[in-house]
Amino acid sequence: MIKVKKLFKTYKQGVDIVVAVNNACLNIKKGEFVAIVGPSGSGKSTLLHLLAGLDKADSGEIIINNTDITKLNNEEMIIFRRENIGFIFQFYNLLPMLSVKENILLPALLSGKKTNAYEKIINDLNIKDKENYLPNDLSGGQQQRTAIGRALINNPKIILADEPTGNLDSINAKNIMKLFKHYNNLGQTIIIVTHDLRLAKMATRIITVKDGKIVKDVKNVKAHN
Amino acid sequence: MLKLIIRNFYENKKTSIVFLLSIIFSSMLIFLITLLFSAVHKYLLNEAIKNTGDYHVKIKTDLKNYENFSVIKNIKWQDDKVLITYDNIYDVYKLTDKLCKKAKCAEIEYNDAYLSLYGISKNENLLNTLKYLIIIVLAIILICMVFIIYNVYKILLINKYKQIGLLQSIGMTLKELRFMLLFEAIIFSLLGIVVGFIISLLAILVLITFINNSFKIDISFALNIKFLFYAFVFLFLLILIICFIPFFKAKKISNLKLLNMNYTYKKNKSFKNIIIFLSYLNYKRSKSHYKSVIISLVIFIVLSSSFNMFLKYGEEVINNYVSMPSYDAEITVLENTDEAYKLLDSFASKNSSKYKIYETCKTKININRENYVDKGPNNLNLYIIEGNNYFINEANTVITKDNRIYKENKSYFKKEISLKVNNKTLSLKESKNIPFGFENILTKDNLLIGINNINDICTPNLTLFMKSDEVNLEKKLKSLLKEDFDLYYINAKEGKKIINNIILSVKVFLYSILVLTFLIGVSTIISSAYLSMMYRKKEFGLLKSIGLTTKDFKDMITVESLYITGKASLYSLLLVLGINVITNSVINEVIDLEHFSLIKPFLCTSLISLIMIRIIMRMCYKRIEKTSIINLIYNDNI
Repeated sequence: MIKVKKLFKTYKQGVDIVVAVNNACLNIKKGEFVAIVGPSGSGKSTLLHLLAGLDKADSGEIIINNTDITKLNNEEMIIFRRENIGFIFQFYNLLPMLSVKENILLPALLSGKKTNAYEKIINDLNIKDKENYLPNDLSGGQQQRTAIGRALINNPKIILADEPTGNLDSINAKNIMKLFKHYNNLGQTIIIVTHDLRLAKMATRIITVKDGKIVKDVKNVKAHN
Repeated sequence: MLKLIIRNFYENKKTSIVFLLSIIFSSMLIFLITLLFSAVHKYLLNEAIKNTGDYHVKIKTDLKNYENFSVIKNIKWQDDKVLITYDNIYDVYKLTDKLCKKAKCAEIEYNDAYLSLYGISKNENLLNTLKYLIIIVLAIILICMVFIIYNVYKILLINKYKQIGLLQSIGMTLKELRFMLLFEAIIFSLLGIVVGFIISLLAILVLITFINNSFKIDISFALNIKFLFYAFVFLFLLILIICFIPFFKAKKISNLKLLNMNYTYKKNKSFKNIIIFLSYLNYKRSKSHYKSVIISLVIFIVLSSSFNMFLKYGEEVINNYVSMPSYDAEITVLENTDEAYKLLDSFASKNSSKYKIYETCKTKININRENYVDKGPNNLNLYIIEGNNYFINEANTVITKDNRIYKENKSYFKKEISLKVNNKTLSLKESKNIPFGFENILTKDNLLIGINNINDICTPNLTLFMKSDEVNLEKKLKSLLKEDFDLYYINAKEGKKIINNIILSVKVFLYSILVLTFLIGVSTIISSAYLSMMYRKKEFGLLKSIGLTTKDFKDMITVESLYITGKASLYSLLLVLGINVITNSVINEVIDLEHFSLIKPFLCTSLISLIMIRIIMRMCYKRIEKTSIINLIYNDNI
């Protein structure tokens, strides 16, 4: 499903050049629930952004369902992401002038697709009673669930989540992870970035990143079971 | 503290520069108007003193021992009248009344020409009306300046709240915060106002030189300290208030809320089309950047339309009320001999493209009222030329009556008139054919007649009117005629040049104001639109991340620009109509002019606004497009 070959990404930080992703190679199969862990500044979020096409790599390949996204231009990437990827940001990044319902439905409206999935998603997320509220009126957990709903509405093949529980309390964090587990059980490929090892253990595969390099890649047998 | 402020300035360089520029612009315009007003006022005062003197009132009185009247500054005797100058010009009427209770007064004559320059003439005269017109223009400019400065600052407000929240949360007290904001306000205002003042000084020197050269007058630079002080204080207080607004508002809000400050949104209705829906929502934000853009557009449309109207009025005054002679030279020889005629004829045929020689006399006559259709002056200047017993029944002139300026173009006389000139009665029929050269003399006080035996009435001179491109005509003529003839030479070309210069200067001045207002309007729109787009980078990044394509963005921008311009045009229309009505009625008090409608310039400027906004938004979007989505979402600073 996802093949990453010799991926390289650098940033300029003042006069220094920081290597954020250093020669990463990865293979993720359909239906996997992958957690990318690592210390702060290790490059895990950068890797996720590159997988989502939100940033451009300096070199390397990212092949998703036989499409090398590094070769796509901006427009093609937007359309590809719209149809194949659902991205969840750490700080929710909902559109503040849209209600919960409108935020969730927006990707479907933009892609022009008719969807019946809204009711099921909003019930699964347990925010049906908040569907007409604006993001400023919601709690962190509710906003994050809205963001998850927005990522799911187009039934994407892959869900990428960057620190989805980073701003939540432990109970809400656990609930969010359970949601991911639920959707993974339904067949969705999920890749999350987290610094919380306890939550990472709910994934079926844990990839550890350090100084831009993948240093460990293990199957989490317990989670499988 | 200073380090923090300077650091803040550099971190938000673009917005700080835009804010500073808006202060400089506003200061420059206000100071320029103040300095121009002072210079013109000084010139008019000097002219009034030259023409009528600087006394306040002239009275026929038996006033003695005026030294006992402490309010009198100066007193001069002129024949049997006394010219009084008081200590306080503003009490002239009150003091004169007081004086005349103590001394016998008659024939009280106030020096209106001088008093009106201090705004205290009792008569409703031109200058008073001009004063109202200037006040309207100043008011428009001042209000616009306030909006321009505040407009830009509004865009910075959210960041300011966050900054205040952050500083308070790490321990800055209210007193220290107040000091920091005061310091910021002082730096911005000092920099902006001083630079604006310096630019206005340079501009006024250039303007005065230009006016003096074109009008051949002598306006000098005048620094009215009082006006400048008021202008400085006004601007300084304005900037101070603007810089302190977030402080006063933030005092009522908790630290946490300040840190998480964002725009508040209202629930809005939905549209089927997602692009229109998103555009509508962006436009309807309650505390959005679009208000600033809308205000900029309103200022631009109102200023451009209004000054377009002033330009048209100026052009109409020039076209209708400034008349150019049809000839370049007028030569009068005090002799009517064949020799003189031949010489003039030979001279004119060689040196001009069009000419005519007349036998002419000029005298004054009393005219019988029965000759008038309605009524007219009893005494006229009579111009007599050789012709077939006709008179020109047309007065085509500018007159001032009851402090209003009229353009007259009417026939005063009956179709046939009878005049007594030098004991000879003349019966004359009207003619509409105005002889070449005499167009400019046809006023209510002048009458031009042609009679077939001019020598029976008077001893005529020879007058030559000629059009010529030759230089040194007078020299050539004098060398031709030598000392044999007495002649008068009027160089109408020189006068034409001055009139042309006046016309050109007025047009240049008006067009310059129009261009200046256009530029100010455009720069305000660009700055506010640019800033508002830049502050939406995160929103654009988000929309791109969930699937909004470039085409969708372009459509969204088009719809948004239609919303913005539509709203701005609606507000502007109300203001423009108001200004149109007020200006027309003020001008109508003074001069007889056709009324101008502001609808055409309003529509043009609205269209220009729409095109401008769309271009700016598209250009800003192109810049944003080059940035990766992640940088757009996570890097808020512009």
